Amino acid sequence: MKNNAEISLDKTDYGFVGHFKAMASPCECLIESDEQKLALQLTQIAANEGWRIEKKFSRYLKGNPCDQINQSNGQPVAIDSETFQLLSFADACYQLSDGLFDITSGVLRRAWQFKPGAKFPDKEFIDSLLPLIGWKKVTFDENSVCLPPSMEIDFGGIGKEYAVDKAAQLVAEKAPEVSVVVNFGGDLRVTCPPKNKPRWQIGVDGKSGTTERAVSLSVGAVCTSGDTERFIMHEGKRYSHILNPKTGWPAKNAPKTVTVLADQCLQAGLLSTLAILNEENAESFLQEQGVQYHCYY
Amino acid sequence: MQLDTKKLATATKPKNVASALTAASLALLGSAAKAEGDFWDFSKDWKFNTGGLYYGEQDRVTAVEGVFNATREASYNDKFSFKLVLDSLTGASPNGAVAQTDIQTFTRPSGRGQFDVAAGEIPLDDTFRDTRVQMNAQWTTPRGEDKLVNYGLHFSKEYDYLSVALNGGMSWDFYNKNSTLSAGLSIAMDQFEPEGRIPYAFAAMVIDEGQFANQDAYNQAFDATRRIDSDDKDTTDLLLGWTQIINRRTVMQFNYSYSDVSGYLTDPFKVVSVVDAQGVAQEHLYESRPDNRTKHSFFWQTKYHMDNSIADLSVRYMTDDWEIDSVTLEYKHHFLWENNSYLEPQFRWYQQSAADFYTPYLIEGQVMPEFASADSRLGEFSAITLGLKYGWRTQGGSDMALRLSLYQQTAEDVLSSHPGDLASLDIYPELTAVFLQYTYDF
Amino acid sequence: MNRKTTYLSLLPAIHISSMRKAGKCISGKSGIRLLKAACLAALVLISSGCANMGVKPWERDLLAKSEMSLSYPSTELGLDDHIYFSKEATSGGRSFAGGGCGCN
Repeated sequence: MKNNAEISLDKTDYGFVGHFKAMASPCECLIESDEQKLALQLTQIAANEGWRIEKKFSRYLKGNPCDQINQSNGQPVAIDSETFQLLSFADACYQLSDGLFDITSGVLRRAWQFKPGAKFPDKEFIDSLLPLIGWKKVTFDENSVCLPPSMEIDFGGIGKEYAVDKAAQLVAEKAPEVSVVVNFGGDLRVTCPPKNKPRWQIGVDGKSGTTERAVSLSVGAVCTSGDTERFIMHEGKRYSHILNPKTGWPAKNAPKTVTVLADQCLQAGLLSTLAILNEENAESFLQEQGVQYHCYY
Repeated sequence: MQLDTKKLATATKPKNVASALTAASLALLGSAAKAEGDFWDFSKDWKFNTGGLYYGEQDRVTAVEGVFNATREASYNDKFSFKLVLDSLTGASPNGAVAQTDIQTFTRPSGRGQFDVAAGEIPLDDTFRDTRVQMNAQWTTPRGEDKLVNYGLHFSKEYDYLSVALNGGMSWDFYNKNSTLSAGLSIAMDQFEPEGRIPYAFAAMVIDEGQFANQDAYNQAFDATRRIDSDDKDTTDLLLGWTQIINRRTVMQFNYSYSDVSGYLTDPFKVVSVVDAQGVAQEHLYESRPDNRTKHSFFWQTKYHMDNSIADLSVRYMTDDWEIDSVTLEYKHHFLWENNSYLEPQFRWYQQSAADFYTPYLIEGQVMPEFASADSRLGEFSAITLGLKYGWRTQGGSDMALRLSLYQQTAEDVLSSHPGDLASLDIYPELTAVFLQYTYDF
Repeated sequence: MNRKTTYLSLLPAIHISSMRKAGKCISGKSGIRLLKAACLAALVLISSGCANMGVKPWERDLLAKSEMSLSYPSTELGLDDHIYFSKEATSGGRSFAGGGCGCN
């Protein structure tokens, strides 16, 4: 695997494709331009933004704002404007989803592991974690956030989508005329419609290189939730790796993956996650939203 | 991004989270600082608001005004705005004298030449012809997360009038930017150097009716009514405002403003007729007003966004130490149509009481008041404006609008009776005007 | 004059002598009523805590539209101010009353 701060560029029939790694995912920029220098610049811009956001909001890195909040032990922590905005967005998602999306639900990972052959957790253990979940127990304003002791926040559910939107925004500012697909591990956004073809054909399988299941779009965002490999079988039922913060249990009988098309990645990402949490009602939920989607069972 | 208002209307229901999420993600992503571009690169970051106005009164003043405004929204919320206004005025306006049953002769304000007014007509001075240039520059810059500071310069020049003003202000955001307190101060210095110079207060208009031996004798008599200096006026305005977002659809504003004007507040072109007991004008005295005026005004405005339209209501109350009280009520309803166009009916109602020194004429033999003016703008009247505006967005994303308004002033008689012939004559000029306005924002 | 209410006395700087003429002029009476209503509304608003009002950042979808800005449409408001400044005895309120031109 490539070094974390390295980018590479390949020539393609439509222009260039830039590769790098961020947020534990392979990332790419598909650039409809034959200018190698510009392609390299744009890839660098996208990568820098991805790395910046990962460094700032990853829960695995010590000392960043996310870690400071998680280590605060009930004390208020000063936050900057971007963190406030992100918390506000998480708050909006919590309220709009009636609590189904909750950035304090990360503690459930102590109980659940979605590796092949992982053991199914005890109900008692899961129940003991539930009091540590609940976004409404968190207070925040423009200057500070206060998280109760032992609770954790995790921007995982929105961080990558946010990074894609931000990176695409910066790329579009640098080259407003060039169509670029900013793709961070399957969550992607097209900056503007391509010129030499009506649409981009993009594989949404999660595995790069396969276009077996592809969507085509000219501009906008695509996000996929669920995973064909990360799941757990228990008593004949297939449990997704997406956890319901209210019960502490994974969504069951949901589609394996849900792909949503929307204007921004943040929106597409949230809707696909919420669709899976709606379990067997995933499709009717998406129909109500009036968005384009694909469900795979 | 223009969002479908119908979709948004249901956004508060948890069922449809998609459109609410769009707004939420725009709130998050929209905060990104803009890339720093070349300041004078007009192709980006600059916004232009332009407009043209035709104003026409029946048989009287016609004015044409053009506005060009350029605003740059640079990074970090610094905002620069430059405005240029040009206007030109021609036509006749009442000079304050009363109508008579006979033809009347008046001297032009310059002292050179005369004009006649037919019997029964309210005297209009038709010499007004003026062109004005106005320039403004405004700079708004943030101080920290929740404060904005602004500074402005204003310059206006006419043939005989110069105005220079400075302003500064600050606004503070509270409660997640749902409340804004603002305070501002403006200081204006105006200088007046009228054609024919400024007449002395209550000097009688010199009218050449053959009584002068020669031109020099007339000139000498005319000059005796005139001051040799120019005069000026200083205006200090204080504005305190509170803007409050009530809910997702409603925003409200309260303003209190204090204004102190001192210096030469008289209109040097206006006279007050002195009539005898039969209502016959004996002479016309140049008017005189106090050299200070203190005003307080209270302004309240609300905008309410309905599903497919916006209601815009404002009320203003003003009171001053000239004893003028006024109330203004304005209502606009902005109907949003499909394909980015809108229709907006407008209604405005205004009423003022008269200044304490306002009088349509003076009566010979009565005690001279300290101040007197027959300027109908200081009288008691009400006015109604009815307007209709249609606006649309072009394919290139520019906004255009066309507006037609009708303005009508109706005077109230401040006196209980009028002597002699005046009882059967029109004392107060009525005013009907049409304005046609075109605006183009790109 | 004695009918002045406590709301008015909370704004000591307001000059109200000109309301004497209330009997003569309709606008004076309705003006006092309006003023009272405006002051009352302002006090109620401010005292009941504007903190409880307002919206979250993501609920600004409607308020963010240019038509909802109180200074919209700026060109038209400027032109109107100039017309009424030159034809009536009142100016400003929304913004500075200003001096600015010799038309009044």
